[in-house]
Amino acid sequence: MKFLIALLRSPQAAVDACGDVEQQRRIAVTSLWVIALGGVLFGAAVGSFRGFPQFGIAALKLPVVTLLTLAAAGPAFYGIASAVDRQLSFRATLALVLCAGARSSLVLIALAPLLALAVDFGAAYPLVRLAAVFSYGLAGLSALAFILRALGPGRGRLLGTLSFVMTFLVIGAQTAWLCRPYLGDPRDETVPLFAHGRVEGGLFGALADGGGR
Amino acid sequence: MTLAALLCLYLIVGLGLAVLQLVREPSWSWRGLAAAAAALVVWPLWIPFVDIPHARRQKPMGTDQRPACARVDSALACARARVVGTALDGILTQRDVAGISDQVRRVAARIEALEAELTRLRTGEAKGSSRRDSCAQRVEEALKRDRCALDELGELADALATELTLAQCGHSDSVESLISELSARIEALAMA
Repeated sequence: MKFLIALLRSPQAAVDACGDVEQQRRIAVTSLWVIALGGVLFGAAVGSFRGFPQFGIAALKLPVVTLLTLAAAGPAFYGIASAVDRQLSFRATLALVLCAGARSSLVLIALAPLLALAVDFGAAYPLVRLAAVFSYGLAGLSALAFILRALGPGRGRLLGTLSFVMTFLVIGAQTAWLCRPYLGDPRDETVPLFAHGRVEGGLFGALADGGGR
Repeated sequence: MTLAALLCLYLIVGLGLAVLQLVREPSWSWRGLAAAAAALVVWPLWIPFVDIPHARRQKPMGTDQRPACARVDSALACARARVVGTALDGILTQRDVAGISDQVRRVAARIEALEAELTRLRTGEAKGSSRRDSCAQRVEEALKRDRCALDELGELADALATELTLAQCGHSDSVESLISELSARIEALAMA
């Protein structure tokens, strides 16, 4: 709990803790749990728009999407950090990425009740979708602030952060696209587990198809 | 490669790592099961953290040699201060003090290296083999010798400082023999 408070209130202490070999495992375990919990709660809030079973399906899908994105983006961050001359071990880099993920998940946990409340008050589909995107944006900003701090001052900080953000966005968008829907389009009588006909191509396949037409 | 094939490959790697994780656990526990689940689902994020407790065990548990070095340095500085500007100035020059100090540091570094080696031998995977045990025993003996030598140097340097004070008052005739002994020990350590 102390670590989570530090993550929100004094991120520099959390960044320093990520460099400590003795603490890295504990940080990884805590962060993974927080990321999973954040995904489940926020997914449940999003899925509550269509009620059961979408409520449970979205609660399962969102943490999987977040964790798979981090699994691909984490090692990439190590490469990016090395490219901008940051001497970080692989474990420390992954701990930092997990911490950033945990920080954004804490923001999602805080916002999930608001989203659920909006759904409960009968907010329309576009509004709920916008609110979910806004929540993710806010959570992403808190993670971005952490990543900026993790790279520390000096040359290459902005380049490193931008490179990581781009990498994360591309991986995240593709993974999220493959696993949609979460909210469930009101035009669908039954919400499908995965959007039909778009699984293989993903976001970029869909964009390429759209460009070709 | 299709997405399904990629997912299968990802899960096969995860499954292998999860099994390894379970095999590594000394007994069944929820904690071990959670670690195996993490290894299955998010192995790129989890696996780098799995070996940390093992690495912690392998960290050299060496004793800090700095106090022993500081003791010798302080005694030598004290002894040198007693002879500066006196008839005994040439008996213990600043160069002698620096030379002894350097040698003491070398011995301290050697002790730390031996301690690290001993830890490695005791915690390594092949621990328990007779060859490894015999190596560990030899390292232990060398370590014991060097620790004794460092302690004795500290005592000698202390004694030298005291003798020099006595010599200033005209009550000591063993300063030269003490310096000879100190030099001999330093020489022996350098050759060890």
